[in-house]
Amino acid sequence: MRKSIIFLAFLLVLTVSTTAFAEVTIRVAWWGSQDRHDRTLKVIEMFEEEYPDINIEPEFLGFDGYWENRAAQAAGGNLPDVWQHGYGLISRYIEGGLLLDLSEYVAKGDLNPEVIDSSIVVDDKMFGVTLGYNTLALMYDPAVLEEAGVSLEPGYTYEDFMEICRKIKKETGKYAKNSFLFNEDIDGFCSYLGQHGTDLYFGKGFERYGSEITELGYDDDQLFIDYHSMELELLKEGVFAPIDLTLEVTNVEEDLITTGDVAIAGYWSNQIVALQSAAGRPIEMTIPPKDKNQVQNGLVLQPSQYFVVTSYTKYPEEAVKFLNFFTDNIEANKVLMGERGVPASGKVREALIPLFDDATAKTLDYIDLAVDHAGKMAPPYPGEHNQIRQEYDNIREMILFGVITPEEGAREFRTKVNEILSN
Amino acid sequence: MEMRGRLKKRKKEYNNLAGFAFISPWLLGFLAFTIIPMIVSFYLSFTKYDILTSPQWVGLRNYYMILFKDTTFRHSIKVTFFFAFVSVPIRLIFALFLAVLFNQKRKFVGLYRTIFYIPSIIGGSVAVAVMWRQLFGSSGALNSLLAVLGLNIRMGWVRNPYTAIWTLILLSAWQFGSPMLIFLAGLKQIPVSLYEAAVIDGANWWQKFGRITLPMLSPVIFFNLIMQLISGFMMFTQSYIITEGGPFDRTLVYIMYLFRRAFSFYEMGYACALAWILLVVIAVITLIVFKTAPHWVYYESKGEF
Amino acid sequence: MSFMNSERRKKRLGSVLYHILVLLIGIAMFYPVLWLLSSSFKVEETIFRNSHSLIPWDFTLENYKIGWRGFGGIGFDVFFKNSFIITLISTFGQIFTASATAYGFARIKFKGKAILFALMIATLLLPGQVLMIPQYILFTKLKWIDTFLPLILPRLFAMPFFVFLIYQFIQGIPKELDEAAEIDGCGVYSIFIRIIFPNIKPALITTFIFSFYWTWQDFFGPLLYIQSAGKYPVSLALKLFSDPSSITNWGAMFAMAVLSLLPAFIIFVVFQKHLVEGISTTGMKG
Repeated sequence: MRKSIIFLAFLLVLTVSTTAFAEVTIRVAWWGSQDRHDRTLKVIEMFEEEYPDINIEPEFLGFDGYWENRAAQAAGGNLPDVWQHGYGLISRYIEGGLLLDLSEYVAKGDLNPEVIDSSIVVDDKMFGVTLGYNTLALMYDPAVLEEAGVSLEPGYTYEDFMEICRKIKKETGKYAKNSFLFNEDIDGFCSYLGQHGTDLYFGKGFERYGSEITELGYDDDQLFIDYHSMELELLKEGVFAPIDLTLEVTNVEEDLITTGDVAIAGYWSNQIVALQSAAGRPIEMTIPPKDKNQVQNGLVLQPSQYFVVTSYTKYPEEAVKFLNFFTDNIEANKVLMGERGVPASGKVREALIPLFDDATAKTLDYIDLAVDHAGKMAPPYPGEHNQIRQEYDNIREMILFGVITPEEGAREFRTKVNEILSN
Repeated sequence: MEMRGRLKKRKKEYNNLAGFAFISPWLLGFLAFTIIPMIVSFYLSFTKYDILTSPQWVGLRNYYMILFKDTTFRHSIKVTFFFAFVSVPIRLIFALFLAVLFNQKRKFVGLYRTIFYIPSIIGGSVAVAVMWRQLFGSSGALNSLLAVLGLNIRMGWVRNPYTAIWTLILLSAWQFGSPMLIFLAGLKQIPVSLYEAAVIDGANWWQKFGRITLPMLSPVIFFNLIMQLISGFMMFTQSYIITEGGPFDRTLVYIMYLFRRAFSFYEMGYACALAWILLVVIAVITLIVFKTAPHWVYYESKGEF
Repeated sequence: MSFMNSERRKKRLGSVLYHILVLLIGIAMFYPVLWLLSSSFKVEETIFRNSHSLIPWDFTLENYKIGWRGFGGIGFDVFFKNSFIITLISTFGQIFTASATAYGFARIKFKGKAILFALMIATLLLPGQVLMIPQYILFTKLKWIDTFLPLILPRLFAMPFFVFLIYQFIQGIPKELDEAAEIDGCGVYSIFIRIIFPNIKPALITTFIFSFYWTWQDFFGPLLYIQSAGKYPVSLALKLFSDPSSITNWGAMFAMAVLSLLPAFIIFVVFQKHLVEGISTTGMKG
């Protein structure tokens, strides 16, 4: 009898000790450049020090190829435990059931609710934590604007903007901007739609949702025509840089504002760090133009990237611990330094403010400014968004090359989008 | 006489064991790594598969949509044909020209060969793409050169809808090193004795080229033609990195379109259907070239297959 | 006398013209490479701002230093090691398997040869992108993910391109050689080893050069199959430098790109001499 008790006790101690020291390994994946890789890896080291029984295997890539890698892993049932995600694609992965719902962990207090962004809450289920906020920003070279004798005061309208651009060209001889009213993506146009109380997919007040979406969200093609006519006009006047010049730019270092060819550029707010560094001179930023008849603000505060957890992960608890450390730990964020955007956690932001360098501090100031001028965020765009962006790019280029008119472009866009969405 | 008879008999004998033994290094790999994925991809072409969830059978729908409804498909076929049938001849002619040039025993020939081959080694890397964009960009070397000649064109060649495809063709032509190398190897195998005999007969340079070089090189030309056509049709990396298929799909080569459908639009089934259609197209073209082979390809070993 | 002189002069002229022609074309060809090289020595910020000047006025080795450091403690020495392992093993293997297979198709009559040959050529026509996902699933089931196996093993088996290449070369070897060997008592296998294999050197060298270069710069394969950074080959590591939405260290990337081109370049320089020597006669024995 005694012997068996001792034996059982021994067994108990053994099991307890092995579980206590059992090492769990989780895989964490993200995309970025050397700078981000270095920072993130350092934070991972810090995490492993704090939680010695959790081991992390990092998988990092450049943006090129990141999604192909994920797609292949998804097909093979081999997704990492934690990985970086973006606003554009996340709805597909949510619909595919590949992401873990984090709401129970938030309820338990394992995650700071501040880091859960409303954009990835679907039916009260929460699918990721946000790594930082950013939003659209109009970057400009203050020296050139001063030379032209103009300034961009928040609240300026599209008309004001066009006049300012004309003046820049006239007074300094430089192009005011590249060929796009805002940037090369569909963001500028989406803002414009927002300012007119509607949306690319979800209609007025986000009435429609999910699979109900079978056609374009806005009814009035005139919105498309007006927006793109403004662009075309300034391009034709020679105030905007020529379209083939604009299309050559594929990165911050080559951008026309970096090379000094233009005075203004449209970007995401966290990119000012890279932009200012590449340009080698001070760049400022302000909110994009408003519409003089707008019914609401078109600007929206957006999560730059998320970390998500795979739904079939073997170690959800550990994954959540990592998410929490990454987004809420002050020491960790001192290393990350808001490189992915302004941190969502209030206490982290406060701790970091005195440490920010010039460019990053501008981001923070800008977000503060933008909050006052921001509207409501839409739910994640439907999975077809990528395809639609491609159509939009093509149509817009054709308009700017003079191959079709804005009117034809508006009709073509509607036809193509409806075709894609109804399939 | 007796021996001849014995030889003749041996020639016609089948030697299955040896045959399979020798091709087993290919056959095994093929069975293991190619045939199953091929079958799976064929199956997928009949499904709607967004990679993240299971494939759903849709029958011939993908093929129907591609062949009858997809305007981008037709457009990309046109772009691809244009690219292949323009860039391949240019590439081959350059390659042959320079291979002949470098086949001589002159000073520095080895160095020249190396210099001309380097562009091909650089291949499809990001650095090359950036470099090419810079060269043909609005503030690039080409425009500077033209300016020196008095033509002040500040055009962005890479992003202009009319010239974009030509920058890709030029890039492909620039990288003629691989076929050049193969031509060189082929030239090396032409017996010098043939040329010596020709010189004795009083043949000039042109005759030597036309009567000896070309025919003796024809198996290699044949090989290069087929390989280059196939790779021309399957060009992807350059379009992906340099022009991204633009502007407005002007350089959207077929594989670029396929890739987009698979990884941007998450339509793997559709992409597989596109791939199989391409296979048929290339197969047809290859077959045509094969059919013409007996008319112009000369095999030293009296090409019985 | 004057006849001799004008002959020599013609030759001289021809030689000069030759060199000039080659040099002109060569410069045009080489400019992009020079640009890449010079950019790797320029200070990061000026690469694009002074993109038209070939001479790095602000010569620096910083890019090489920073680039070599690699990412997260894994330097390019590790990446180069990985690349060499993958590339050398597959390339050496390929030389043997491809030539054996080519010999089989070229010289041996066996049942089903035509169909198999056609099938092999057909596989060349299938775009790699489409086999990608099914192959990934296959390798996942085999548990080969995050190892070098999916990158090396398939390449050890003969690849259609090289088989076809060597096949064409074997066709260039007169069958009389084979027959002579047969009379001497050689069987099918020793004909291969003694006659064919030594006589297709240019093709083998070409195979070596190509196979090396293609494997070396393949990044799609490693992209899919390698997860831990410590196993990345150079081709994949180069891509880590660039992220269009934030700072890209172009200088470091160009520097490492230049280094990554060196092995293929050196191999070519070394072996192209053998390509030259090759065989100058394929005359019959005796």
